[in-house]
Amino acid sequence: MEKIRYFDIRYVRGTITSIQTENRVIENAGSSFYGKALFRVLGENGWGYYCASSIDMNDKKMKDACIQKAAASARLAGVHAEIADIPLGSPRSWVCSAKDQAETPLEEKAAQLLLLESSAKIPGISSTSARYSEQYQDVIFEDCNGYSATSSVCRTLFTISAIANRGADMQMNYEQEAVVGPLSLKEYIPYGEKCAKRAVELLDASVVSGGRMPAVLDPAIGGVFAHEAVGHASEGDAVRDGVSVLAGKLGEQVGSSLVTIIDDPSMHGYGYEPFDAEGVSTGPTELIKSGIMHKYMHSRETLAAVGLETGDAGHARAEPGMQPLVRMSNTYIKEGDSSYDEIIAECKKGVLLIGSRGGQVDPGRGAFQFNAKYGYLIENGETTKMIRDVSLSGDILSVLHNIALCGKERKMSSGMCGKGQSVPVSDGAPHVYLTEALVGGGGSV
Amino acid sequence: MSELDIDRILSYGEKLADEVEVYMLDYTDISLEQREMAISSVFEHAGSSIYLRVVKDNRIGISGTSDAARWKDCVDVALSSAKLSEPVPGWAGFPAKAVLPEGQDPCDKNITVTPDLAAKYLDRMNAGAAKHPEARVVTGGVSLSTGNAVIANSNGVYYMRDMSGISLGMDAICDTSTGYDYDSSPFLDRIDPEKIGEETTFWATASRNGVDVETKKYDVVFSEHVVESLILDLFTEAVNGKNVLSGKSVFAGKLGEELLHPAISISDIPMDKQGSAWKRFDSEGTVTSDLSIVQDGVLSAFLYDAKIASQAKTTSTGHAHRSGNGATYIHPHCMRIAAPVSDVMDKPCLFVREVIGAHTANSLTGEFSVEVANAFFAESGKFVHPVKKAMISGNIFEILRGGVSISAETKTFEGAVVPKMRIESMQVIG
Repeated sequence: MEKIRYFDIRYVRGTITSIQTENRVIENAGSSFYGKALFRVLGENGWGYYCASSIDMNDKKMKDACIQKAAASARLAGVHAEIADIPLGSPRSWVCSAKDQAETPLEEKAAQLLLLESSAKIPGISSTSARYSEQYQDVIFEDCNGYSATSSVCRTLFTISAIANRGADMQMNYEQEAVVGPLSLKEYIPYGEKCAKRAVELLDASVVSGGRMPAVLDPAIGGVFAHEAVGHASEGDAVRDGVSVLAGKLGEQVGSSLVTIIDDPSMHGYGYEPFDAEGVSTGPTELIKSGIMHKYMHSRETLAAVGLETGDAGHARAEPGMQPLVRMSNTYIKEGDSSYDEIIAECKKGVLLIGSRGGQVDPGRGAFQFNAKYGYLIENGETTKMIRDVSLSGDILSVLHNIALCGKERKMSSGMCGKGQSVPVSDGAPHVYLTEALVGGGGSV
Repeated sequence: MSELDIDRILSYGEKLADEVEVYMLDYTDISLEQREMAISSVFEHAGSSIYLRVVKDNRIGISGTSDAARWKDCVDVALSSAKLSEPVPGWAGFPAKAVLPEGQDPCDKNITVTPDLAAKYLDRMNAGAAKHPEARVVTGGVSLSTGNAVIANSNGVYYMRDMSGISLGMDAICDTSTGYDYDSSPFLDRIDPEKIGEETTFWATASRNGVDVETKKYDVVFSEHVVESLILDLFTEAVNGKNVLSGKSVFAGKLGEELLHPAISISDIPMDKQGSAWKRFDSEGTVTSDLSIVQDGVLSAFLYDAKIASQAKTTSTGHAHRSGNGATYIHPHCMRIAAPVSDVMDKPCLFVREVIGAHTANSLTGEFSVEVANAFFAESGKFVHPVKKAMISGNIFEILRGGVSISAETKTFEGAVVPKMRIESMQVIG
């Protein structure tokens, strides 16, 4: 018999229903079913995992057999690990099973999606497409100490994209809304036209000439900065392994005193989880507080390794059947007290970057990069020419110190985050003014 | 799942639909991860996935599951889904049974899903990493897998492909400079674990103390990684028949036109000896064959699966792959670029080993502006100074129109065999 210091089981099962339309025709629609259980055992010297499909959680014999398989794997490990002995708490469940959403016939949702897509068919648009998805996921968690927790979460989203065409020039835009709980497509039908108009405008946008300059980030790209540049560098595993520029900086001023950045899995954003992949009930963690590195995000293992006083557990997340990884959920820069007009006026000569096409970070080097959907030149404290294909890069600590103003209104955006596994997240910010940024672009404006 | 089970699904579905297709994956895998130069966790997994498609009145329905016991639910859901879908104009049916070309599956019988074999490769990778001791290895991992895929349909197709895989990855840090390397293959003898380890610690060590870069145009050499993630990914989107049909490709309507430099040809070779995913048939059972996509700069073909080919009034080129919801998507098997071959590092250049944010490039227009990583100013094939930080920007279609030279040596990726590429005069922002 293998030595087992701890074990837990996380069984995730669910249904995903999706509809895709292309140029106002239903491309495909259908449902898929999934179910995977991860058996995790902490042996004498490390972790063993066994993933099984189609498990019956009432079948004790089957579960014991899977635990023994994980225990046999754990015997091969050679890096001693501890898990912090912390109260797991009582998960604050939020009713988001979206019964009405489930009961609405698929035909009705498809008809609404087609209406939404059709609203994007305006002059100048050559191609449109839309996607709708609803996912119902049940999680059953139990551990060797008799603790158990269950959750049922529904996630719904739509994406609309439009391509504008003028001769040889083509430009694309997309809009997305992703929520925890129900989403009424009917209410979002005007999004199609909004998306299409932006694509047409992009045909006349200029490509900026890159260089160092002041920049204003809108809430979407400011949110990506919070997620990519600060969030990933505040993950307990990167801190433990010494591959984060924010490691060892607790209590130090790492940015402007205007900057407070929070990750909150309990918030009702797209990254919502009532308890994390280790069964720990979730809550907000202030990563940076008034410019000072305040806390890291942890799993129970990284909390034990880095120190109980260094942050909060409850930030372990996992795809169904995969091992928990420390990562973000809903991450945002807290609001400041400046108006949008004040921020643009203060910038004087620079760029306003709007929307996000995603980003990437190397937390060890402290370098990040992300792309805006579009933006505007700022000249004499006013927005002027529209610009496109513009990106922002820099080193995390410099940019945090360069934040000179934060706006009054924050907005969250939703998406997926990849760190070996892909999980739903949201991020957001108010408008943020950077006194200097490295802006990328291959144009001459 | 057995042959009998597949027959049961086909039989059940045929009573309700005009055509039925089952795509089934069975697999076992094991992954070892290390920290502090020792194994920190071991992950074992065994499972199967079933993807179903049905056709009723030229309408295609889809479904899938990782729970084999739910196959009947899947057939029923796929039938409902077919009712909702629009009929596919010109639908020519799922592929019929055909004689498969000669060739082998991407399967190495020497790959066993055992911790001992994985641990051996981890040790060898660590031995390679020790050649640059100033760098600290942060994490490393080895995965081994075996399995098979079956594609069967009511038109008589019943093909099986055996598969195996080994993948290795490692990352290291030296001061605040990081290095990373990764490789995967179906075959053990194509993996060089010592080299992966050595490269990882080399990049971390050599990239320290970078110099500033003046903003201006430089001659740039892309590593195989950058050519694959930046150039080929965007090119692939442009020749995808679905994007062409729906007006999402800048190449739409341009077959026969000279779109790239006349010295450049690009083709897809499913059974390329150097490739890593040999395919005699695609994920819906269409027999594969070599395809010239760009010949001497002239666009000569797009990639299709059966559905998009029907809509485009052409025939499938055998490029169907399977997505998680059961639908197919179009992707190449093994792309090859032909262009003037030279010693691309011979003359002074900025060598870019990695970029951060390749996926943020504009897939429609080809515009990109990304941050470089592990970049160096190089002369006569030698790295002279590492670069502290810089962005590069441009347009991949303009790069390929302007002419490039490529290296003779290549690296194999999942969907391509890729050389280094030298590009004259690229915008670099320091």
